[in-house]
Amino acid sequence: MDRPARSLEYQADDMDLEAVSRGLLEDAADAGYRDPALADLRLIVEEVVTNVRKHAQAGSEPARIEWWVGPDTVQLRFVDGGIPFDPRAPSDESLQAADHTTGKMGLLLIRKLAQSIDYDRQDGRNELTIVYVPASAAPATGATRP
Amino acid sequence: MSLNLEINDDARGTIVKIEGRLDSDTAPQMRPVYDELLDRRARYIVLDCSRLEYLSSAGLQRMLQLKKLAEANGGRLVISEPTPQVRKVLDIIKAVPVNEVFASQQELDAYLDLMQKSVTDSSDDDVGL
Repeated sequence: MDRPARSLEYQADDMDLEAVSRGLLEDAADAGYRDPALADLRLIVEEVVTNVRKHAQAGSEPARIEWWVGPDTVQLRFVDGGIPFDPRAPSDESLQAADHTTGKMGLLLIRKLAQSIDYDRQDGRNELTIVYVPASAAPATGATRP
Repeated sequence: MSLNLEINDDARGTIVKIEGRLDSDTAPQMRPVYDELLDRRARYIVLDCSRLEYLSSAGLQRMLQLKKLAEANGGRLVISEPTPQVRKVLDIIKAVPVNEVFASQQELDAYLDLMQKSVTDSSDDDVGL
């Protein structure tokens, strides 16, 4: 059964990773998700909120994560008031040694784990929507996974 | 879950056993390990990841700092027995060569024996010159 969307606000510059991801992971586990899907979801959340923290601006409103857990799909939406940041670019996926910074490695992980990533800038806020589909639920062709 | 770290030396080099989660919350705990291996001038570093349940980019960056340290000392860093989640992250980032990640202790031992023999042979050659 599909579940309603849930959300959590957190301070981007002082976040507790465990607390930010706990609700999502509990809901996903209740819906029947298991590792490696749970680890993938935790990793996506960590990499995104780490980037949100990096681009946070002093005094900005709390950041927010929203999640919707479906039977075969999890949709995540991250909203923050940091400086504009589109995680879809650059598209180069072959990191050189000099690119092995936490930020660039994190973005590559997000791109590889997500089924789709959409970004928008609205009213001074970054709005990032990520759709995650566990490998076991992906189409047999595997063609849709980046 | 927290992070537990243990450093041991044996004939093969310095073994760092990492247990738990290595993420943005726990990665700073790797700093004392780096300092310790820096003091020891560690050359061959083995990261035992058989009980490392979760790795993120923040944790991987700490591993890469140890890799640089080993290489600066003329040695190498290898990863032993990564769990599936750790293996997935390594496969995506490709920061550690595939031939320096070992699925089993036996594979690792064979590799390190070969490395030791290579170093010994090289030393013998130097003497000969």
